[in-house]
Amino acid sequence: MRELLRKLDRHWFAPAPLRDLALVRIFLVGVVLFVFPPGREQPGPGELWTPLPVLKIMMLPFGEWGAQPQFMLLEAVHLVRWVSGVCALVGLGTRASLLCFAGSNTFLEAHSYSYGEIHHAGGGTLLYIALFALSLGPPHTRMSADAFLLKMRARAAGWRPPDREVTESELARWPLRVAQWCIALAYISAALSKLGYGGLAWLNGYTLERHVMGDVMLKEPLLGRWFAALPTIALSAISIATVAFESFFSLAILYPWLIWPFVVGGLAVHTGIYLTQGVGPFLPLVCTYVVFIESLRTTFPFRHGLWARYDGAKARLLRNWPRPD
Amino acid sequence: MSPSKIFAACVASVFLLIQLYVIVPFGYTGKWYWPFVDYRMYAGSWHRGDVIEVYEARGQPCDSVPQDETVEAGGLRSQEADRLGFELGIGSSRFQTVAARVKAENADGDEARATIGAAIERRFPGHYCDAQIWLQSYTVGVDDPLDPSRHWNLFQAWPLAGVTDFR
Repeated sequence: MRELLRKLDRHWFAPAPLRDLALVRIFLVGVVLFVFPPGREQPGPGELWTPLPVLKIMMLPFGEWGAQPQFMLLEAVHLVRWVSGVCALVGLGTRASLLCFAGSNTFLEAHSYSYGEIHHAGGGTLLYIALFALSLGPPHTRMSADAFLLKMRARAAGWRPPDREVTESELARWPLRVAQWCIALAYISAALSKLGYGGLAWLNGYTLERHVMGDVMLKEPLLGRWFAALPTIALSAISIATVAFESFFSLAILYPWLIWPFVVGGLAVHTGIYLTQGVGPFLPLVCTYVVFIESLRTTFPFRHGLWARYDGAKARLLRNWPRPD
Repeated sequence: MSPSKIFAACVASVFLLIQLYVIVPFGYTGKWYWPFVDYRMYAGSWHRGDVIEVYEARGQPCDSVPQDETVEAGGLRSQEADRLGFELGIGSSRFQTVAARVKAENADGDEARATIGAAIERRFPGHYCDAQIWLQSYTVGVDDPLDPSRHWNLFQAWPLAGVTDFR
């Protein structure tokens, strides 16, 4: 039992670089702010209004239980989203701005899903959960305006900066772990649903043909017809590979050296879904892989070659740098 | 264990336990707990010989001649009826369910026609005189996905009477 607790402690709280946390924050906030804005901008038709529980809760300060947000409120939340997003990006009031940014995006996306259609087409779900986790993590003392202002204030007060800057924290890992496990659970959920609801027949090849053709007839995605025309045995093999990928993605968390094969697999799966069905949150999900930053960095296949070249180039540059006489 | 770690452990547990609760057992209900979602989309299984039917909404502009009842796939742009696609404000899967009911000559059919008619009027007020639902079908494992002669067939058409305030 003690051994298990020790392993759990190491899994969640082993010291991790604060720089990774800062890079993830900047990347995620950047993509959510500029690349994946939440869906509907205006209130939709009242007769279709079926609010999600999360929106009912968030609407409580503004109206009765289940009230529909009106145009002005949505505009105000959009404004909060932009202001808090920019602050979170530069790291000003980082925790509060991250929390506001995650909350405003959740509000707007929940609103767009409150008209009878709920799915993950926007793909923001996991990004928002990652942002919430980051906002509750350790203080953002790297790559942030907060850290800069703190240094300025300390200098103005005549305090001597510490000899060595704090670069790691035992609280820097858990927000990323939460996001990692949420991704793994999402994939496990997808696999379990296919096998639990569709059964082994989901792997028969005809199922994939049907799902692809259903989208082809409505959207004519680039490779849809060609893909659906593949031999049934090939479609069956692709179905099995997809379910295997979804079922075992969590191994990439437990065994970091597996992260690159799974990232490449994820790119293949999501790009394939997009090209053959014209649907799917392939880009947001792939962007969410950034929460594996430490594993991606430390297990990058060509890292030694690249670092050696970088070090060599740096040494040559310094050697040849003109020195004042 | 420090208070910070205890706080972190509690937050992480809440996130992951809610997500677990939502995805097990596997069913429809979990989607209501968004942003914790069960990813059940495309989970149904199909077999050789099963038939897919997809519906599409189009609007007949008031100043145009009604079109033929069959349109070849790929030739839609030249037709006078406009494809309204997903612009109606009705989500895609919900639209498919509603569209399948428009032919019924009962209260259910009336409601489906009123829903789609109201959506067209709300989105394009006064622009269309007729609402149309078109149907295309495909038999899994039998039809050729690359067959260029696939057709959209007119499933149902009805006049729009300036419906602006459907419930």
